[in-house]
Amino acid sequence: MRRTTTSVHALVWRQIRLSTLVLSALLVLIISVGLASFGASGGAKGMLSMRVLLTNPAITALYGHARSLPTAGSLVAWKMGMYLALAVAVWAALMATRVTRGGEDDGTWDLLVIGREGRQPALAMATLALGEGGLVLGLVTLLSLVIGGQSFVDSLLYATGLTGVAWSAAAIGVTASQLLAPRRSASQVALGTVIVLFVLRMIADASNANGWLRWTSPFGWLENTGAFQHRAAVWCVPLVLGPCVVAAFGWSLQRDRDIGSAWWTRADRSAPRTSLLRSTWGFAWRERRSTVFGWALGLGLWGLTVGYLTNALVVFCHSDHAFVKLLDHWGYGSMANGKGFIAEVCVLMSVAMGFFVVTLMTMVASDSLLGRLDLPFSFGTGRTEWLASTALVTVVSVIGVGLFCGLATWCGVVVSGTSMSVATPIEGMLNALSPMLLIAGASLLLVATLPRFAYVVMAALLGVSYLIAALGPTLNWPQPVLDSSVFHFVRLVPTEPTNWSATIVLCAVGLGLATVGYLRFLRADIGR
Amino acid sequence: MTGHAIETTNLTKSFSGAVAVDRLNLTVDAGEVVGFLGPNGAGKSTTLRMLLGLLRPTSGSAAILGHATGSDFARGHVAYVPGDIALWPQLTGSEAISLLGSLHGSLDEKYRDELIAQFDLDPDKRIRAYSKGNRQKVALIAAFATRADVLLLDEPTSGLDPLMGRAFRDCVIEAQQRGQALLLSSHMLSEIEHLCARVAMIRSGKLIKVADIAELRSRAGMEFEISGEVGDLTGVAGVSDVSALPDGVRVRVTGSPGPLLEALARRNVTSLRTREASLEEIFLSYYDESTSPGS
Ligand SMILES: Nc1ncnc2c1ncn2[C@@H]1O[C@H](COP(=O)(O)OP(=O)(O)OP(=O)(O)O)[C@@H](O)[C@H]1O
Ligand SMILES: [Mg+2]
Repeated sequence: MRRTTTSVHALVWRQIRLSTLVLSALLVLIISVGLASFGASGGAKGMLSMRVLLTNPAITALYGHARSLPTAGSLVAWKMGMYLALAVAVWAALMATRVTRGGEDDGTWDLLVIGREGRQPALAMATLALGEGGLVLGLVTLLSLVIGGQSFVDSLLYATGLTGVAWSAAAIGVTASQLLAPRRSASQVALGTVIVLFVLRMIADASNANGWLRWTSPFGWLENTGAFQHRAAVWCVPLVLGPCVVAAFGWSLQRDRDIGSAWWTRADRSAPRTSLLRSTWGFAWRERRSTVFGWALGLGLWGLTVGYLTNALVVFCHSDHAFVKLLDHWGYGSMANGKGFIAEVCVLMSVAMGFFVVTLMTMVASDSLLGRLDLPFSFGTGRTEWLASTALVTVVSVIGVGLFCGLATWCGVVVSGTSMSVATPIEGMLNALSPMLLIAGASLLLVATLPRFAYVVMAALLGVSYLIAALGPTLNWPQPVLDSSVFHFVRLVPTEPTNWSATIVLCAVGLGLATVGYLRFLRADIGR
Repeated sequence: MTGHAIETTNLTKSFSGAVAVDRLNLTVDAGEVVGFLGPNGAGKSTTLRMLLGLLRPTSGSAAILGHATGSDFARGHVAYVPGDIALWPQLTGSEAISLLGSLHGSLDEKYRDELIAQFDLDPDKRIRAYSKGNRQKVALIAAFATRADVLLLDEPTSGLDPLMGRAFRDCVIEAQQRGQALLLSSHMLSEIEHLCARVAMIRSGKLIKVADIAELRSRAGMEFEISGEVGDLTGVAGVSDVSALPDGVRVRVTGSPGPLLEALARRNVTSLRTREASLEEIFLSYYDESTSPGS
C-alpha cells in the first residue's frame, strides 16, 4: 500500500509544484508590495481618514468589512485579502480537476488505482497532496506577513483563512471531477462554483440585510475570521471542516463508478452535427464555445453584481461631501459618481479578460501536447490556417464577451435605480480590451516556444502586471517599471479619454509578438 | 508529379542531441507498398512524422510528389494513420471523419460509407467511448476515404482484430491498385510479407537494408518435408539446413529445386510437402544488432 499511495502523492506534487511555486512567488511579491504601500499612503494616520470609506456598501462589497486599518497587515488583508483568496481558489480548483479528472481522461489514473489498495487511497492521497499545496500557499502568506513585521496571531488567522479557501476550492474541484467528464467540463463547473461563492460574499457585504449570506461561502468565512480586526478564530472551524465534508462527499462518489467515467457524462452516442466541422474556422469556434459561454456567464454575473452596487455608492456620495473629498484624496475621486465607479470596474475586467485571452490561445498548446493536432495537421490543414482561426475566434469572443459584460453591468446599474447611458459601461469595456492584442501575441509566442509552460508563464506575467499597475503609482515606482505593465495604460474610461497613442503602441507590440510567435510555430515540432 | 511519391534525402532528426533518424535515403513510388520495419525506438514514427511535416528535419530533406514536406501541396496529398489516435473526445466517429475529410479538402463519401460497413464501425459513438481498435478504425476510414496519393501508416493495425486486419489488407490492395503510394510501418511481419513488394529496415535511426520481398524470398528459399527412406541429402546442390523428422527429413532449398528432385527420384519417397520458407528469420536477423548480416 505504501508504494501505491506514495507514488500517487509524488505524481500529484509533480503536477502542481510549478504552479504552486509561481503562485507562492506572486503572493510574496504582492504582500510585500502591499505592506510597503501602507507607509506610502500615510500610515495609520492616513488610514484614519479612510474610516468613512470602510462603511460604504459598494466598498465593503468589493473588499469586505473592516472597522479600521491601523496596521499595514490590516490594509493588505482588507484591500487585497479577498482577491488573493480568489486567486488561490482558482488555482486550487484548476489543479484539483487537472490531477483527478485530467488523470482519468489521459489514462494515467488507471495505472495508479490498480494497486492493491485500489482507488480510494489514491484519491485520498491526491486530495492530500492538493491540501498540502494549499498549506504551502498559507505558510508563504504567513511568513510574508510576519517577516513584514505584522502581528503573528493576525497573520496566522489570515493565512489559515486563505488555506481554508484553497482547501474548499480543491474539494470542489475534486468533487466536480467525480461528477463530470471530461476535464474541461469539470474545471468549468468548479470555477463557476468558486465565482458564485465569491459573488455570494459580495452580495452579503453589500447590505446588512443580506449579511447571513456570508455564512454560505468560504470567502465569507474568511472575512468572518476577522484577521487584523475583531479576531474570531472560531470561523477557522468551517474553513477546515467544510472542505473535509465536500472532499469526503467527492471521495464517496468515486467508489461506485467506473474509472474514466463520471456520474454525469453526455450520452456516448450522438447524431452527427457537422456544420462547424467544414473548416478550421468553424472547428476553432466549436472547440472553444463552451469555454466562451462559461466566461461570459461568470464575468456577466460579476458585472451584474458590481453594477448593482453603483447606486449604493452614488447615494452615499450625494449625502456626504466629506466622503467625496476623501475619495479624491485617495485617488478614488472618480468613484464619487456612477460613471467613475464603472470605469474602475472596467479596469478590473481588463485583467479578467486578459486571463480569458490566455485561456483561449493556449488551448493550441494543450491540444498539441495531447497529440490532438497530429491528425488534423496530417490531413492537409496548414498551421497558418489553424492559428488564424484560433486568433479570429479569440478576437471575436473577447469583443463579444466584453460587450456582454458591459451590458450586464449596465443592467445591474439600471436595476439598482441609477440612470446611466448604456454607452458608459460599453465604452469602458471596449477600452479595457486595449491590451488584449498584446496579451494574445505574447501567448502565441509562448505557445510556439514553451507550450508546456505557456499558461503558467502568462498567468504570472498578468499577475505582476496588475500588481504594478495597481500599486506602482502609489509607491512612486520608476516610470520604466510602470510602463512594463500593460494594465498601466488602461485609463479610467469613460471618465478619462482613451489613451490612444498607448493603445496603438500596445497593439503594434502585440502584432510584433504574434508575428514572431507565428514564425516560430511554423518551424516548431508538433506533438507530445 | 515527377519522380517518386516519397523521397527523402539524408533526412536527419535529433532530439536535444540524440539522433533519432540518421541520414535516411528512401524512395517510394506511386502504386507501391513499402514496408517499414525496425525495433522499438528505431526511428520509424519519427521518419513518418517528418514526412507529414509534424516534425521539422534537423538536416536533409524529404519530398512528397516532388514537393517539400510541409508545403501546401505536400500536405494536400498525404493522409496518416497513427498507432494511437488522440482526438477531441467529444467528437463522434462520423464527426471526426468529416472533420478530417474537410480539412483534407476531399472525401469520397461513397467509399467512406462502404468502409464504415466493411470495418463494422458504429459512427455515432463519441471518440472517448470507443475501444482502441475502433478509434483506430476512425483514422483508417478517414485516411482511405480521402483517396490521398500518399498514405503514411504507422502501426495501423496494432489494435485491430484479425477479421478487421483482413479488411485493412483489402483496402491497402485497392489503394495500391489505384496507384496510391503507401509506406507501412508495422511490427506484424506476416502483414508486411503479405502486402509489401519492398521493405526498408531501420535500426538506431539508420536505414540498414532496402530489399524486394521477392529477393528475400528467393534467399529464404523453399522448405521440403520428405518422408520415406531418403538417406543423406547433404551433398545435393542447393540443399541446406537438413534436419531429421520422425519419418524422414526437412531440408531448405535455395535456387532451383531440380537437383533435389533428381536425387529423390532414385530413392524411396512416400510423401513430399513443400512450403515457402517464412521471412521471419530473415527479418529478425536485421532486428538484432549482434546477429546482423551487415548492411
Ligand atoms: N519528442 C521526442 N523527444 C525526444 N526523443 C524522442 C521524441 N520522439 C522520439 N524520440 C526518440 O527518437 C527515437 C526514435 O523514436 P520513434 O518513435 O521514431 O521509434 P519507432 O521506430 O517508431 O519505435 P516503435 O516501434 O516503438 O514505435 C527513440 O529513441 C525515441 O526515444
Ligand atoms: Mg513508432
